[in-house]
Amino acid sequence: MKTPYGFLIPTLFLIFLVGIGPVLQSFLLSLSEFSLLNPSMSPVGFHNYIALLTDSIFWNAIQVTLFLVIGSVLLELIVGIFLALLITNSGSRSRRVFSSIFVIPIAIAPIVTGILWSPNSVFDDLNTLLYYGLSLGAYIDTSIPSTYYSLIMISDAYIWAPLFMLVTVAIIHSIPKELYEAADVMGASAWTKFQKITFPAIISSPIIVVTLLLRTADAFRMFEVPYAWSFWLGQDSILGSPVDTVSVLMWKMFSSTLYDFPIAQITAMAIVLLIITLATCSLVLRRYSNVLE
Amino acid sequence: MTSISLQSISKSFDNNKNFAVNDITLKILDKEFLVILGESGSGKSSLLRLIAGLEEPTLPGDILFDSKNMKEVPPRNRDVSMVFQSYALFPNMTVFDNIAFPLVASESNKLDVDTEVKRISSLLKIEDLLERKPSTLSGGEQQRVGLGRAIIKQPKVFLMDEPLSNLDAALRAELRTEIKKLHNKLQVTTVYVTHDQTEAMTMADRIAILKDGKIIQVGTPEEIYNNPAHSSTAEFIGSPPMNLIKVQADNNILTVGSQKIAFSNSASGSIVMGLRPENITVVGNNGKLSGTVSFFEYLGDSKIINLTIEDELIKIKVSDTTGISIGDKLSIDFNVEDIRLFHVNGNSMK
Amino acid sequence: MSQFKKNNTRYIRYMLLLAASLWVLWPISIMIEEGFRVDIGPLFSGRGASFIGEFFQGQGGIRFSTIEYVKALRIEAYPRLLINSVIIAGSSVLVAALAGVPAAFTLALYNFRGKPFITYSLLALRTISPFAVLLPFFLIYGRLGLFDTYRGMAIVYLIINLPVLTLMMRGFFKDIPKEIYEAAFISGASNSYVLRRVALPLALPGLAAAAVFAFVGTWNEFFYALFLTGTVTKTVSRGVWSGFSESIESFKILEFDELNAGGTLAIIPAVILALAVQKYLARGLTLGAAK
Repeated sequence: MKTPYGFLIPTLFLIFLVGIGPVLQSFLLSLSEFSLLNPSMSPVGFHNYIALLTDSIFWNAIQVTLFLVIGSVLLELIVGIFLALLITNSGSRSRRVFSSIFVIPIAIAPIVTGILWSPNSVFDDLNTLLYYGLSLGAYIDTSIPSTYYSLIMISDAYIWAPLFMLVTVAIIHSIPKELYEAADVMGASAWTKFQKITFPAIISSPIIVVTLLLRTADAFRMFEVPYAWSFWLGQDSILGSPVDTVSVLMWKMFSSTLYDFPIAQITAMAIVLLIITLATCSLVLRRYSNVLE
Repeated sequence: MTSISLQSISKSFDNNKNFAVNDITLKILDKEFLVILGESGSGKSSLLRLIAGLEEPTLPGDILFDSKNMKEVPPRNRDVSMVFQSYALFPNMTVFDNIAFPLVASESNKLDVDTEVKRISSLLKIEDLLERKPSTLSGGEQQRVGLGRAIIKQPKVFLMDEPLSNLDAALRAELRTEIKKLHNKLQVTTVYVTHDQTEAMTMADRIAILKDGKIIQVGTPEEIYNNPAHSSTAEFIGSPPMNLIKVQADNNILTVGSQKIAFSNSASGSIVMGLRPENITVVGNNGKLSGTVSFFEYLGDSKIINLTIEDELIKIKVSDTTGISIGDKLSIDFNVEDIRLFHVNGNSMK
Repeated sequence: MSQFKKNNTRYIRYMLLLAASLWVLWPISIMIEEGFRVDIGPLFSGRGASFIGEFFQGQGGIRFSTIEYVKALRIEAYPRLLINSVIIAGSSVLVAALAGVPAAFTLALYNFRGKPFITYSLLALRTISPFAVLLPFFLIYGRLGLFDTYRGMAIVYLIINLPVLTLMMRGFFKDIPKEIYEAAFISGASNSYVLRRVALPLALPGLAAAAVFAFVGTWNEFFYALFLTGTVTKTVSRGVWSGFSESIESFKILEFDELNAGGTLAIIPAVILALAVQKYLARGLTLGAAK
């Protein structure tokens, strides 16, 4: 049958309208001097990129982003696998009930997660318990970097660990039962079975690799939770504060009048981020074609 | 009123490294029931799908229906019908809608849907199932619906892709007869793909045997049975298949191990002798060959003696094995006219 | 002995499952509960104060009250924000489905030049940093008057919904056995007939799941809403942050209990919908890689 190219036209049109077109314009913007106050564009070549790459605030943001991306994605993976193992070893009724509970965070808007895990919520409970309840006199100080970095990672993992759980459960279900039966016959312990059958299957599955890459690409644009935290910490107007991921940094530059709308610089930053995303995507696609086609 | 002509058709799924269908030229006659017989992976389904237009030939080559080149014609306009191994019924539609589908779906239809479905369903004895969904039917019933859907649009050509392979033995025999009867009645050119030699032998006007993407023999079932053109054809047809025995040929003498058979032929050196199990008889002594009984196989109506003659194992089909037991020395005889000779590479010697 | 050991492992497993459930539900329960309180303190006065006040010092100004929910639901903005979110997400998903379903059908059934380009573009669109497209949208919307309009927001959210609908539906179309399509084509059906009468009816549960999935994604989206919505089209998830109980035109400093009441109201529809399509969550989030 002949390919019905007509069927593709609306989608192609929309891809250009909301994707390729705006990206191209962003790229053009990033090559020129431009601000809302002075909307005439004058080309400056890669000046904005050079300025960006020599800007310590930008490098700080890149560092914060990378740190948070790696930390939260790893945490999600580990917690997700752990939850999946708990779930798959349970009876079918409790499996249904608990997996329904565990997937709830996926549906929660990231900005709400920023509220859920705010210093005022869970940690007030914990601190009250630690300080007064147990009379330890110690408490979790949410204003020191190591704490709030962990907390940002934890709140990102709160949303996305269940995804790794779902994916891992799917992988575990695809492992042939005969493997476990053979192991049982040979008298293998539960730990041996996990070590020799389950874990290698999970780690070598292309699905988990695809999920990891997609999550990584997503995590690079991490915004809502650090955004909320910049408020909790009162750093919502300070450029280059310790919670500035690249996205949060761009938002601050964008929304604050103090910095004279350095739009060209923001777009340059966005393009850098886009390149990271596209690179991750082509990695995904290389794997993805194995998984899907 | 359609003959099909395949002219050097090839199909590769990996950029011309391996060919599923390798340069096949074949003429299928009008009203003929042609069976394409081959093992799985022989390319027989690909060949059928090429005729249907579901695949496009890789290299230049033509498919003609009568004299019309079908190269640029999409499947929906080729005026063929196809029956699938998996039935491929539309699970969301009733039997009625499934059968009516070809009439409803094509814009050019002028037949009355209701009367046609009634007629076809009574022909296939599925009138009572019209309101049911396919998932509630047995395999045999589903394939009847599949046949109905194929027949209703009165195509030029029927293509059947192992339609009976998913059915159990009894149903298979029943539907086999029925498909053959349908063909006799409708007189439509039919290409039928199967790996089952019984289907091929019982249904075909002609059989085309496919191996590794190439046709190794085309002929009527009798021709294929009597004169296999290749040792693998000989192995494919017959139950049990033809014995293939390594022999040395020299001066009109065939030597099996150390035993000699006089048989006038032009060959010399190592060749393969073919002999059908049903053409061999057990004699007291003075047969052409002798060996030791290794074991028996019971087929119900007949029995098979497995006889070891030096290094060769030969199957003999007999009706009775009374008085013979494992380990006995046995002498066998046969007509030398039943001997078929093959080169070591498999080609028949003529 | 092994019976004892077996019971023991089961006991431990259940404890761990309950602990994990607590990890999931505890923050949510705090949010719901906080929403039911009135806080005497100013912005972000927090919860510790209330706890201490009530249980340890016997004083403090915290009372159980439904006032935040009542305010949010009855007086002011929540119903309006809800309608905004539904209109925007609904229309965007609808457009994405209308465009994406035929494309998904083609991607599932055919091999053609440019197919990798389309797949790659969709994947990139799904993972793109919002800032890479935001400024052009910002500038153009300002010029065309699309800023803070339903139309404008529905278009922006195609960035999320088009990849989800197209790639998920492509997977569902691929799940239908190839022979079904072939039988239909050989029967004389055209592409659009096969799509409408064969593929779509069979993939209808999938379409519903993909639509719900995309809807929830749009509902939860905060970033584009933060920049491109205004007083007319402000969505629920933006409203959570900038205030429910005031009329949506205004901006005011939030109080913590109000924030929590808003958060609770915002997640209820999303959680219900997500649980309804639970079976397809992994598939949607990995764009079809996990089945």
